[in-house]
Amino acid sequence: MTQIFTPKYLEEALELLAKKNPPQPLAGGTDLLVMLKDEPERFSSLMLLENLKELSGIHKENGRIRIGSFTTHADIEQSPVLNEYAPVLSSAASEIGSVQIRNRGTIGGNIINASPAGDLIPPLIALGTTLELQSAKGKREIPIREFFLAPGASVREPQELLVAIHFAVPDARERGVFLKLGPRKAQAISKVMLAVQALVHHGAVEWIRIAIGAVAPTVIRAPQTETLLQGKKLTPELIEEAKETVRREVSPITDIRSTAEYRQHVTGVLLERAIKSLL
Amino acid sequence: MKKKNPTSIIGSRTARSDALAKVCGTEKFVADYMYDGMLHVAVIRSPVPHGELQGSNRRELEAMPGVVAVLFAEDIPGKNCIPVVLSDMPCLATGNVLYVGEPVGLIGAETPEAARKACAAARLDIRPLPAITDPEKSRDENAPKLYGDENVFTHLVMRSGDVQTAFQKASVIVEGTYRTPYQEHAYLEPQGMIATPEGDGAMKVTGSMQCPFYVQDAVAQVLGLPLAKVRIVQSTTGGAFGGKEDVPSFVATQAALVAHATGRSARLIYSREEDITTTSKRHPAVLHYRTAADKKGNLLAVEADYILDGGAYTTLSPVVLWRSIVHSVGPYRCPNIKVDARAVATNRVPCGAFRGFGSPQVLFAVESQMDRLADELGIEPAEFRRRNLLKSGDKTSTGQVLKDSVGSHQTLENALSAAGKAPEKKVSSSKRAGRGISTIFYGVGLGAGGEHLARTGATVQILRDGSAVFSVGTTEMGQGMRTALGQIVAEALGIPFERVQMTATDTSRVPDSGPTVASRATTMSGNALLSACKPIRETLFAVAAPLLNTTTDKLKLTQGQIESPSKTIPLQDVIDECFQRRENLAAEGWYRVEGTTFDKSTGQGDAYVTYAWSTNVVDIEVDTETGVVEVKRIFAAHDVGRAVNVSGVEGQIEGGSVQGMGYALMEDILSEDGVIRNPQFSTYIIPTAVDTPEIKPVIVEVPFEGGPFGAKGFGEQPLMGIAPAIANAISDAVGVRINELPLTPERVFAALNQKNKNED
Repeated sequence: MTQIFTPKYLEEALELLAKKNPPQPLAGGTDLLVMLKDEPERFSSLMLLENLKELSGIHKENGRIRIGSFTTHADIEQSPVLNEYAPVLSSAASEIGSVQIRNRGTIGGNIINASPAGDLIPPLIALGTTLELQSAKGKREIPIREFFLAPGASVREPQELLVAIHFAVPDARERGVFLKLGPRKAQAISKVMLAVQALVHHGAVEWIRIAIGAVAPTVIRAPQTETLLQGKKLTPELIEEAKETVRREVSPITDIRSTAEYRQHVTGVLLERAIKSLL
Repeated sequence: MKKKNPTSIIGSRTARSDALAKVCGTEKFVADYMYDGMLHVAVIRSPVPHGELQGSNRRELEAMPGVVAVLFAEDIPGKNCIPVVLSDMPCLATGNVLYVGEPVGLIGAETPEAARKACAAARLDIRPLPAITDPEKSRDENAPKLYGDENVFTHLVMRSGDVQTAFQKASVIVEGTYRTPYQEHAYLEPQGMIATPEGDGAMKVTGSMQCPFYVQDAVAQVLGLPLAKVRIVQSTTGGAFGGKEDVPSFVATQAALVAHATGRSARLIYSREEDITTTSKRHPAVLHYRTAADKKGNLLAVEADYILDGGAYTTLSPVVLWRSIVHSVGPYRCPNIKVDARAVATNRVPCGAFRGFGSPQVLFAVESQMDRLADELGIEPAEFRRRNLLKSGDKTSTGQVLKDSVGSHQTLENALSAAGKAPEKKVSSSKRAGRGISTIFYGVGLGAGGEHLARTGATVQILRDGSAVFSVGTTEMGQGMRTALGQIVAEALGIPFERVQMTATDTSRVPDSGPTVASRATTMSGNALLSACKPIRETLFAVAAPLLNTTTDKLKLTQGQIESPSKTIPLQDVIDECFQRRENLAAEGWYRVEGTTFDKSTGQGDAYVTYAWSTNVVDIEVDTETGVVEVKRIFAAHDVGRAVNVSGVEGQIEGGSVQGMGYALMEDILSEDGVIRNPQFSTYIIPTAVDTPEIKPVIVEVPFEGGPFGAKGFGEQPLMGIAPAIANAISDAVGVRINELPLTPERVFAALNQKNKNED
């Protein structure tokens, strides 16, 4: 039988995680419960996070936006702060799964699950997010782009809990856009997803961050494409070159959802559409 | 045409009587039932596509905690077969296993967990054999032999006229090879049964199903019991689409074997993965077509050679193939025909019934060919169809002369006028719009291929308080039969619809009424109910006549009253009088279909009693940069004879259109070496509400004399013509023709790429 812990305070949760066989944290359960259906005894113990008030809430303070890891997709979708300052994130949240999934699923779960197709990861990377991990021994902060190792794997230690994420409040002139292409319009894992956060001034790129999902073992940045665009005027020729560059930066596979060739092609299309929407 | 009665409930919009409980989640399905001391069943299945079964770790499994019964083929008390068309399919494999997921053994345990654990611990000793996992290789000389000498379950032909001469005379000929995939039914409720041993050796089985009499036959044969000792009760069934035609016989025998062996109730509920992996689907097909026309645009000849992948056992393949060949030329006049159709054996999951029953595959090819011919001739696709579409007095491809209820042309004209002007081609820099059309027909009922089953029974009873209860042998599976039949009884007896109740379908209530398939429930059970209502009406009239000082021939029964030319009497008064006099207000009804024929050597005959007709006009947009096809609007015109429940007809049109759109654009079971790789709804992609386009149902009513109030069965038809209409719309939009379903963005993109290369 699986043992279930329901800590009431963060401190209590961190103590449980500090034990020899730490329990598996369970947030919204939208990924874990699917896993448990097939393997009910996969974990000897689970720790429910739903009572930990410390993990909730979206706050804009001291020049940054901080989101508790237990914040649901629905809360992100409907947050006035995020809709104003980080629409790249709130729009991505609004397209996750179904209403039911968005009411249960959390931003922390989406990150920890470490799927190359995790919907919130590209926008968070595009926003330059930092993750706050905490254990009984203390806190550490890590840039999100250094967090993922492989599908399902991250640098989180078993004693650690992702408690929050934060990023600098974007400049009012910045624009962000999230695009995804899946096998149907809703409730499907994407074939390709792409997030862009940029500052475009008088048709020229001051700076840009591009993050792409489902085209490599982890969500990736596109540094060469970013460098190519940096400081330049967005001409049709430049956009064409950016499409070709970004297609070289991805390394998609052929699987049951799509083909490598198609994913590579569509990455370029999505980038073009994202850039054009910034203008 | 009968004049419509404004007070009649026939032709009204009636809310489904089962809708509220289903929408509110209060309805009980088989998985919601628990019985005292009930065991849980799990099925041990073959992990390989082909192999020789040599043994198992039975003893080990028997010793596992919670395990009460472990059963293999040798423990079957009766015949080890699941009877469908033939009896080649065992209940539990013995000798060779022929597909991944084939049932080999059963576990009965105290808890679902114990059953599952034991199942996972099962070790089958199997010597692997070479397998056929590609249907196109099934008939290769060196292919392992799974069925007969050639791996062909059934070979059907259709011959008429002189194809060779016709092709020589033809002005245009188009030729193509078309491929269609598996389609999974994706019913909301997975397969499930509970078997309960009753006194004196009888067995009762309750569960999710379309065909209780098939289940009764299977359980009786497997347990070695007389039919009289097997009672089957349908529980509320959460969708079927053909997937619960023959498969529930499997599930029921599996549960019943454990119940029989232990003397305890036994429940078996398939998981979604188990259901998708091991139960029937739409047959994949490979179809080669050659079609010819003269320069005036008259269809001259159709030559076709195609295979359906039947999977490892015959199941329903012979009858699926039969329906497919009857529809293989489409709803057109065509003097010269040569069709060869084969259902072939592979080491893959046995295919079976699915809405359309073999016709969506051939119609995809037929309707694609029609558009290509129109294109070659420089005639509009709609006009080309108009010139060739069957009308009353014409001969179908099977040589059947069409008489009444031929609404083919009305569906074409009404769909076109509902659709109006086609949208502008250029939507944006990357999007192109297109319009596609398909005209199709649907043989109503079982036809000559299943005439031996074409009968139904019913019972009707008026109760003391003036309410009525009825029973039929067909089933409600979400298609709306219960409501339509309630309307028919309400109309026939003048009783309010709300006071008419249908009992659960139960083999002990009515005689064997055949299966609930082939869109036959409303017409067949409707006719049986009308035949049962007839003597009841006669009794009511006989009692009412003296009260109204008239004779029975002057009487009319309307809602709530019996009328003579001069006065009326409340129906309740007559019912009271009947009870006073101890008259019988209960009756049985019976209906059978006569007169269908089919000559197997030529494929000619009066294949079906009548046909439903349909035209679909579909507007789409293609994203030329991503290959994504978005269906914007579907105008679906259907000749249904008479719409008993208008809301029900519209619901069937909407649901079928979306299911057809899924078949066209996204649904695809990926099978590799006989292993299904996407057995979940996260990977087997069906359309969601968000993907649903605007659907405009257009109801055409050309009454059918043989149907209740003129109704024809048509529930399958809305799915059947959507895929070719979408393929034709893609061709219209961007000039590429894709001959393989589904029309995924990857395929559309590759075709566009190819076209661009060719043009460079």
